[in-house]
Amino acid sequence: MTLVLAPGTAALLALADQRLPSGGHVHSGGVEQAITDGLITGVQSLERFLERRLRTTGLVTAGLAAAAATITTPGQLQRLDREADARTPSPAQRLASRAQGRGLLRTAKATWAAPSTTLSWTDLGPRPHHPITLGCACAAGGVTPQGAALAAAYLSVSAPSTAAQRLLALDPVTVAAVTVRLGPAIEQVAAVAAHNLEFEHLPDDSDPLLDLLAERHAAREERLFAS
Amino acid sequence: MDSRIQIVAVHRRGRTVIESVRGGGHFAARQTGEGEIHLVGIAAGPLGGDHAVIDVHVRAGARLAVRSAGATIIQPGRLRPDSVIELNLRVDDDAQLDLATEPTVVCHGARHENHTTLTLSGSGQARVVEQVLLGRAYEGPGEWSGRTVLTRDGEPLLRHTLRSAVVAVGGTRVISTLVRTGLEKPEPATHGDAVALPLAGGGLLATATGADLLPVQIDLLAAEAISWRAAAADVAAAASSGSGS
Repeated sequence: MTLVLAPGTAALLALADQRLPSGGHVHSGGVEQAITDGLITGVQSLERFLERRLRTTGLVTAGLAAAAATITTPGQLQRLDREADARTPSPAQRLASRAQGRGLLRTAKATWAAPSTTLSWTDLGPRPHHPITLGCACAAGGVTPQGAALAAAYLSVSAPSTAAQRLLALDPVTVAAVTVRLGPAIEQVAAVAAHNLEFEHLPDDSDPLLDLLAERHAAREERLFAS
Repeated sequence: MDSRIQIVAVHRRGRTVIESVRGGGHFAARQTGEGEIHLVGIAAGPLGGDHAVIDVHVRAGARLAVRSAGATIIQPGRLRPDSVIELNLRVDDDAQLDLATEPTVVCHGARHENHTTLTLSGSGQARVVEQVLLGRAYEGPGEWSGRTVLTRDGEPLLRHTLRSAVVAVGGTRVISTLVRTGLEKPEPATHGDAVALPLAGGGLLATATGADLLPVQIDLLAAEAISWRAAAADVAAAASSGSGS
C-alpha cells in the first residue's frame, strides 16, 4: 500500500510545530494583555479571541507566507517586506514579527542550503518578517504556497492558545480541543489567503483591538511574554 | 445609481483655487472658504445598488480642506443591500489635503463598503479622518467594511481593511480611523480604546472603536495628539540637553 501525500507534508508539519526553536513561545500574540484587560477569562472568551485573530492577523500572515513561497528574486523579497510592513501598522507587532522571523531564519539556515535555486538566506536580511521567512522555509522544504498559508494561519492561533493555557492555568486538553475545533476555519482562511498572490492584492484585514493590545503591552513594565 | 464627482484644487499666485468641480449625483461640492469645500448630499443614500465615486486632486502647492454638511446615511435598496463609496485622494508634491467628513451611518439591513485610496507624491501631505456609525438609534447595526490604501510615490505605506463582522462585537457601533502624514517622528500612543500607530514607511494611523460617536472621537483625537506631542517633547528634551552640554 502506498501513502499518497503532497510532497513536503512532513516539512510542513515540522514548520507548524511549536517546538521548532523560532522563539515563538515567548510571544503571546496579544493574549497576555487581553487577559490583563479582562477580555480573556476562560476557554470560551479564548476561542472568540483566537477566531478574531485568525480572521485578521492569521489571514494576513497566511497571504504573506504563501506569496513568499513563490518568490524567485531578491527584489521581490524586498517588495514583499514593504507589503508586510504596510499591513502591520502596529510598531510592537512589527517588532514581534521580525523577532520571530529572525529566530525561524536560524533554524531554516541550519536545515536547508537556500530557500530556492535563485535565492540565498542572506537575501532575507537579518530581521525578516516571520510569515515571509516561513514562506521561504516552506519553499525550501518543498511545501506548496497553499501549505505555507496553512502553516501561518495555524500558527496564528496555536502559539497564542498555548500562552493562554500557561497564563490562566487552563486545562491543556480543553485548550487543545479549541485549536483543533478551529481547524476548518484555519483551512478556509488559508484557502482565501492563497487565492490571489499578487502582492498588492494580498489580504490586509486588520483588528484595532489587536493593535491596541499590542501597544498597551509594549508600554508595560512587567510582563512575561515579549508580545 | 452610479455617480462621480471630481474636485481639483490648484495653487495660483499664492492662493489655493478650486479649479474645477465636475459631475455629481450623490454629492455636490460647495466652496465655503479659500481652499475649503463642503460636500453636500444631494440625493438619498447612497442606497443599496449605488456606487458613488469622489475624486479629489490637490495639485502641487495647493492646500485643500474637505468637510461635509452632514452625516451620510446609507440605506439598503429595495432590491439590493450593497453600496460602495470610493474616495480617491491625490495629493501632489508640496500640496496638503485635510479631509474630515461627518460620520457615515450604515442603517440596519444595508451592506456598505468604503474604499479610500490616498495617493501622495513627493512631499505631499494629508490628514484624513473617517467615522462610521453602524445603525441609527433604536435599530440594529448595518454591515460595513472599509479599505484604506496609502502610498507615496508608488510605495505602499498602509494597506488596511476593517470589517464590522470582526470589529463590531460586544456593543461596538462606532469605528473611526485617522491617517496623517508629515508628522516628525510620531510615537505609539493609546488613549481609552484608541491607538495611534507610526507606520514603518512614514505616517500615522489612529483607530478608535466604541459604542458612541463622541467619546470615540475624543479618544481618537487624544491618541493622535499624544502621539505627536510625545515626539515633540522628545525633540525639545534633546534640544535642551544638547544646548546644556
